[in-house]
Amino acid sequence: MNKAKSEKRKAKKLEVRTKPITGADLVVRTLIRLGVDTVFGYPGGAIMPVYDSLLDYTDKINHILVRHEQGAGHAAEGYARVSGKPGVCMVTSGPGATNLVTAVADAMMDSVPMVCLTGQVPAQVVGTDAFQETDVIGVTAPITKWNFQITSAEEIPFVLEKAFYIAVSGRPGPVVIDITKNAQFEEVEEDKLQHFDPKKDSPSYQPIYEPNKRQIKLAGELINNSERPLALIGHGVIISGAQKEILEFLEKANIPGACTLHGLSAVPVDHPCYAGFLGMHGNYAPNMMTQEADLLIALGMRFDDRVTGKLEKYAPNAKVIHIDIDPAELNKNVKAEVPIVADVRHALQALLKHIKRRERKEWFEKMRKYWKIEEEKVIKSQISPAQDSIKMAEVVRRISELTEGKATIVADVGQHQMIAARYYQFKRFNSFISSGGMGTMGFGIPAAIGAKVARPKEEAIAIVGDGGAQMTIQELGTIAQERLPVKIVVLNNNFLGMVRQWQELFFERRYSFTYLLNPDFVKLADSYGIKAKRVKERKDLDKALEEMVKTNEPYLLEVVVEKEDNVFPMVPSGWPLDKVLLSPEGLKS
Amino acid sequence: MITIGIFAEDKPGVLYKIADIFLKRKINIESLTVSKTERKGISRFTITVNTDKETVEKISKQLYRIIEVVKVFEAEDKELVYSELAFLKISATNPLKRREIEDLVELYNGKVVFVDKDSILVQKVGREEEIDSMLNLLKPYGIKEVVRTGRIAVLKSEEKLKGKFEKILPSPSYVAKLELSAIKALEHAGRNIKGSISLAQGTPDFLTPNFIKDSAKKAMEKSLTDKYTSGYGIDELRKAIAEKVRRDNKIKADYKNVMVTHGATEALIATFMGVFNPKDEVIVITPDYASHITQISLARYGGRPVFVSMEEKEGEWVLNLEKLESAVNHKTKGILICNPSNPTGKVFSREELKGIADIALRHNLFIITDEIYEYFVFGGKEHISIASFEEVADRTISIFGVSKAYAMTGWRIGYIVADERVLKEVFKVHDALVNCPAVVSQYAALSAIKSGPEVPKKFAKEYERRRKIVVEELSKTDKIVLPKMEGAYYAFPKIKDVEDDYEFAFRVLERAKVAVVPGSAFGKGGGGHVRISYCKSEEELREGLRRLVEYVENNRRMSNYK
Ligand SMILES: Cc1ncc(C[n+]2csc(CCOP(=O)(O)OP(=O)(O)O)c2C)c(N)n1
Repeated sequence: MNKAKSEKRKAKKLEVRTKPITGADLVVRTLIRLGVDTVFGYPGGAIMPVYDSLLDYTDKINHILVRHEQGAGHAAEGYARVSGKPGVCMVTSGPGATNLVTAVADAMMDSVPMVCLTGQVPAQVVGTDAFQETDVIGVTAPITKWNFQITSAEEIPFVLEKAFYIAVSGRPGPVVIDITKNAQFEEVEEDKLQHFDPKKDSPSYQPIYEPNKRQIKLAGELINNSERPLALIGHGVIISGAQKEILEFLEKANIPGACTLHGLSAVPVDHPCYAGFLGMHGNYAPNMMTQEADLLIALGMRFDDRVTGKLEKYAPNAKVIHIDIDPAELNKNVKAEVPIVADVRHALQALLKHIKRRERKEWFEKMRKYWKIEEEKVIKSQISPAQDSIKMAEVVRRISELTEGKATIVADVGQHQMIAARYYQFKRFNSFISSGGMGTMGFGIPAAIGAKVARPKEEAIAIVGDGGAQMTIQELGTIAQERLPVKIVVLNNNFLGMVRQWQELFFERRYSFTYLLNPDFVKLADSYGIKAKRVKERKDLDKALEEMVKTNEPYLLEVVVEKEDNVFPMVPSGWPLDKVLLSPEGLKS
Repeated sequence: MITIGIFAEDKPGVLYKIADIFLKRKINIESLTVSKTERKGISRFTITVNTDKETVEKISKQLYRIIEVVKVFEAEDKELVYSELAFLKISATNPLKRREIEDLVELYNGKVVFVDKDSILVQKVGREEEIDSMLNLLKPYGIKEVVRTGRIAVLKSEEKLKGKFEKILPSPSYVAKLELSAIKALEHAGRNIKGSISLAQGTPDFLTPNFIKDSAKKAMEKSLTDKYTSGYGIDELRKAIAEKVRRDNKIKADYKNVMVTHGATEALIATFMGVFNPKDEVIVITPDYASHITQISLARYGGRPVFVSMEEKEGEWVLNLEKLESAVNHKTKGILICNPSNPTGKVFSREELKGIADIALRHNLFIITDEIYEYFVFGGKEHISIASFEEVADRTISIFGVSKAYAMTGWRIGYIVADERVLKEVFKVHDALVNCPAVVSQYAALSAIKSGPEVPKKFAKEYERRRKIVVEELSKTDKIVLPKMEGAYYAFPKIKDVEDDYEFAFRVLERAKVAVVPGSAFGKGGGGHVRISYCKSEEELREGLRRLVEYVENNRRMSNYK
């Protein structure tokens, strides 16, 4: 996860060839040299030369054949988020590339380092509507951090080195490299080619890691003078690997810290400074505290509207310190008194020297009071419900207990995602993965594949809805073929639950096309040779979950859950945070 | 109206990405111009929009997200000098009206640039409002066509452009890709640090002996130094050199084989340019003097030399002849050796030189030598000039100089010894570069070379003594591994656990105030090493080494020397 380290990743030994080699070979060799050990992909005409070369390097690169290019993209994202290394995918031109687009956009929104290699028709026919030609550069320009088309083999090392540099440095993001087929066939002499030097060859792009000292000092003063500060912990804390620093910071200054969706797991939930999960379906305490705080310390987060609610009413009493590596995020949504452009880890290290401990008894008291309210009014009835039907929350909480909060949880998008975020008790740094910015249904299963490949020793559990599961269900084939012990929990409510919840609350219960007729998930898994089970009653739940956690094989568990359950608390879209609803009753008034 | 100026790398697709940022926010671009700037490879976009300042600020931040964008500024009209160019085609069938139109144009400082039987073409440069109002007045006559370029604008104050190009290198040609030698960079950085000691540059601390200076003075007094001499140098000097190389280098040379140059540096660059084509490959045995690498790159229009690195085995630099030969291909045209070697201090053995000679013969290659440190060999080692092997004498271009031998680095005299047929070609470059070497220096060199090898041998003794100091001081730490130093006056030790020797060198300078040269500057095989020049006074040398040792010792546990 340590970024500096992953950037400095030493090239693996690979003797440079003095005889001419093909561009395709060069692509593979350059990937290996750049430390790539896994590629998720799907072959086709325009990328076949590179695929041919891959076969010669199977000892160094593990290629995982997915079932749909979108799956390759999400798997690469899962891999990247767990390992901190860029995820790599490889697909063919035209439909191969366009199938990948959703995942690229997803990675862009969630700052995931990814390098996608797309095959392209030969340079001589680019622009002539050749078979399987798509303007991939045009299509992906708005959704990539950088993209580039390679048209001759000699560009390969330079461009790939640049691509990897851009993908992981600064605010990470996806890079698409389109390689025309002629460049893959061309022969070049490897030792004669130009290489990329970030210091010299990137005049415009120079990310800033070190914070401005004066700003840090100012931030320190604000923190020391604040009575009710709240740290907002975002994805940046995880990306920068500030595992140690964030805890030191909260403890030394004695400040409560709340996590955004992608900040979850940066602080263990049982830590005394942990204030909870922020945002629309977040915990009651941090949302209320935001409105009462006199200082917000935003760490690698971007004040997404799902976090702020109604902007004009957001944190009315607070000054804001905003630390982010992307200058474009500062003052974008929320004005900051002290904006700081820096890598969060570096900034925290610098900040630590300036802060003093301060007792904030009342403030923490308040936090505990709010937690009590949520426990009473929401949590209790969710994890130990009175009625018969199973609730998503109790399933998630049981999984949390069985895995001691240490599994990597990969959630899809929907109610179950919010429930997973709320009820899994994260104890391990960087262990929650989900599609946040885009909210891409279908992310869960393939991303879990990537996460498992990156950390094979750790449990990876996909928590998915019956809707999202079917968007990428074909990746069961990948799991089966690779024999990857990924665990999948389908929380089946026969609805596009999250949409149904909105229909219930805001569209007078008019359930417009949200009911799903589902396949028999157990039989479906079975047809792939994957162990599966269905649980309908509470009494069978524990045993099934235990069995799932114990097996060292792929496993799919379908849990039939309450059909029309809602996720609460909820800050309806466009409402101020302190108008958070603890139950549907609140809507009526 | 707000003007946004954008500087970006001139690459395909940049406009697309810029336009997309305006599109995303549904902001209409009022005008857009793109053109070249004073910097090669950088274009300037001038965009005007009608929106609020805050939005523009957000847009400009997002513009920075485009990898190719270097600098963005936003400005209001009052901060700018701006203008646009318009062509207006006015209908003018009635000859009586023509006069009126021309008067109006005159009034607005416009210009009639073309006239035909039914129209007048007017050119107007000015601010948008001026063009608009001129257009209004011309409307009654009938406007057939209007073409406007859109605004171009210059900021009145430089303030907003601060830092505009600080990250961009000048790039007039491939030369921009070449690096100024790290030796100079460190020497330079060192000068700015108070109390620092430089063990970076290889300038001897001795002064030129007086008898040499006196002969230069005499030559001046006799007005021998007032005019150009032959580009090859004065005959007396060439003859003295021929005699010297026959005596000391065992090269069978006549004065016609000698050309005097502006230091060995000029000799080398002239040789590379004289004998190699840009596509030819030159093999450089590394680690090697950084300037050689630059010089060859220059001669090859920026193409890099092919490196064959020596191997460090049991405290000695060893040349693997097989590896050397395997680097030869159909494009290879020469091998460069620096003997005694800068920076490693290696002196090539007879066997190694024989091996190199054989390879050159087998593959028909030139051999170029840099033997500037010829007299400085220690511990009974012998300096052998490869041109003394008769079989390769005709293909070897041997380069020497008086700079180090007689402590004359400021006089700038070197010389080439080569076959006449080759020398003739090198001469053409030499002639273009320097015409002839400085004459006063030629006379100084004459008396130096005539005095024989006594002076350099005396220096060599002193260097041998200082060499011991290096061994003594550096053995105080086990973090520094010092291979054998056979010649020249350089130590090239490896610093344990150092990954980035550039960073290390700069940190040592900053923290311990001693300048050494990072080994990577010397090509393949140099990484993790530093070069120490021990041609410094004993006092300076001891203190410099002490600081270095202390620094590595204090940072033992920190792997990257933070
Ligand atoms: C690709 C995609 N299409 C549509 C949506 C809109 N959407 C958000 S949540 C949701 C329902 C998800 O249903 P399900 O997967 O069954 O999960 P549940 O909410 O029931 O837990 C939908 C349709 C989306 N986020 N992504």
